[in-house]
Amino acid sequence: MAFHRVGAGGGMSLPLIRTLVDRLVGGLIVLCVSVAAIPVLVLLLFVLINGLPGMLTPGFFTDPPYPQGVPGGGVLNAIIGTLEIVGIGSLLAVPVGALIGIFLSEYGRNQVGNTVRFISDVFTGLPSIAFGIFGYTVVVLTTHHFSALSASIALAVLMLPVILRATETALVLVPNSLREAGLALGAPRWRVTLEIIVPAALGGIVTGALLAMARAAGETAPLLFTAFGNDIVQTNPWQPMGALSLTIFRNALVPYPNLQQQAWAAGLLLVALVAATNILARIYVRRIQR
Amino acid sequence: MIATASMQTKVAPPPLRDVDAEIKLDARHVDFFYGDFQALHDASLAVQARKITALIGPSGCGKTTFLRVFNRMHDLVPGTRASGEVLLDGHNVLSPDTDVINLRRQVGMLFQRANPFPKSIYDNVAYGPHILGWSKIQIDQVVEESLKDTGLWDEVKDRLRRSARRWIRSPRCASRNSCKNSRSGIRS
Repeated sequence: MAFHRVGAGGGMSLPLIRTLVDRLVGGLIVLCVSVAAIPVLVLLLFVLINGLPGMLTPGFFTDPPYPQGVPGGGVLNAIIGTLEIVGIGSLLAVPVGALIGIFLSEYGRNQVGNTVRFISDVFTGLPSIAFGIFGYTVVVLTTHHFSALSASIALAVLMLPVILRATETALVLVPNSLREAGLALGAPRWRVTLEIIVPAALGGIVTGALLAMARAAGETAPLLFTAFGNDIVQTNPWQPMGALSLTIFRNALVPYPNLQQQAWAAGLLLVALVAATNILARIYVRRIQR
Repeated sequence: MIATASMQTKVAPPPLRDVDAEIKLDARHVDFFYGDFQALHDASLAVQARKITALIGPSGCGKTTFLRVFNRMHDLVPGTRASGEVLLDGHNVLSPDTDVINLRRQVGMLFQRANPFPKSIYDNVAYGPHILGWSKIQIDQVVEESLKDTGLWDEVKDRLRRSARRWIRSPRCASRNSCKNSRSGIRS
């Protein structure tokens, strides 16, 4: 057995230069983390400070917007719109995306799977306004009408690649021994997949779906010429509809302070909605996995 | 009875055969390849019905590989290939027209490591019979019997339905055969 002596004396004290390098690298890492974290914290703080007064205004949650120049008013139209548009979009995208993800993970080790993966990756990289154009040409132009549904479809297509890749990743992480254990009992492949593999990966699948929903909820560009916006409270998906992101976009550009305040408040509400969904999902996933 | 099969030698010693014994599973001249690497060389083994047969050898000599051929688990690993014959009740398991799902229902397999499914204790024990389409009453009965046989019943009877991520190893009924009278269960 050979020993390599550290330092000439073989003592326990580290050489000065190593201590310095250690401190330096440690400091660099702290710096990098701060550079990444500070903008997020500043943003949250800004939204909180500027949005809270608007949110506490009476009628913010319960009233539709008033005409420009009239004080007061709320964003009820946008709250309902965001929930409905993202909700319908998720109903369309989550089942399809999860099924494609299952296919990719369990049956997609071939050319078909690689093609699907490639297309999905291309979709992930598309600018979100392109999905708006898709919704516009496919739904709005054919129905001759702006509608919440066209926005839902645009957002569904936007969510699809996120969901299917997250599902695939979650399923691939399930150990192969679990598949073999199921198959060794004489279970057909599809049963092993649906009854064993998918439940084992449910946490990852749900997380992926929620990430996609959060992203969709914050999108503005795909809604501009699909949902179009609507100052009247509207629940019919065939009609134009408001959305929180549209409220932020429109109200931030008008010279009325009360509407600008409303835009901040809508931003805060959007952040809070997304955060709440994520936290609830995590709690849910932890519970079903226990 | 214990049969030892040395599988890395070119010619396996002739398995001990009892003339009167009913041979349940008969592996004849099995060669097995992982890609270009040949893992089994002309391995033969006769397994008698209603007897426990143990396969002994140093680690890495191919015991598990050999066993996995018996219910075609090697199909799941891309690039593997088995030749020779494995006769189960006279039918060659390795022939392309074998229904592997049915085969695996007849030839159960227990793995070296326990693989609890992300389900409740009850559902884990019941999964085999559940696949076979047993009735609820039959499954209830077999779950209770299996857990009693393994001495776990008293410990787990109150939390059978609770979904558990980390829990004790439990017996899983591989099939009617391997569960009820261990006719053709493989323990790896």
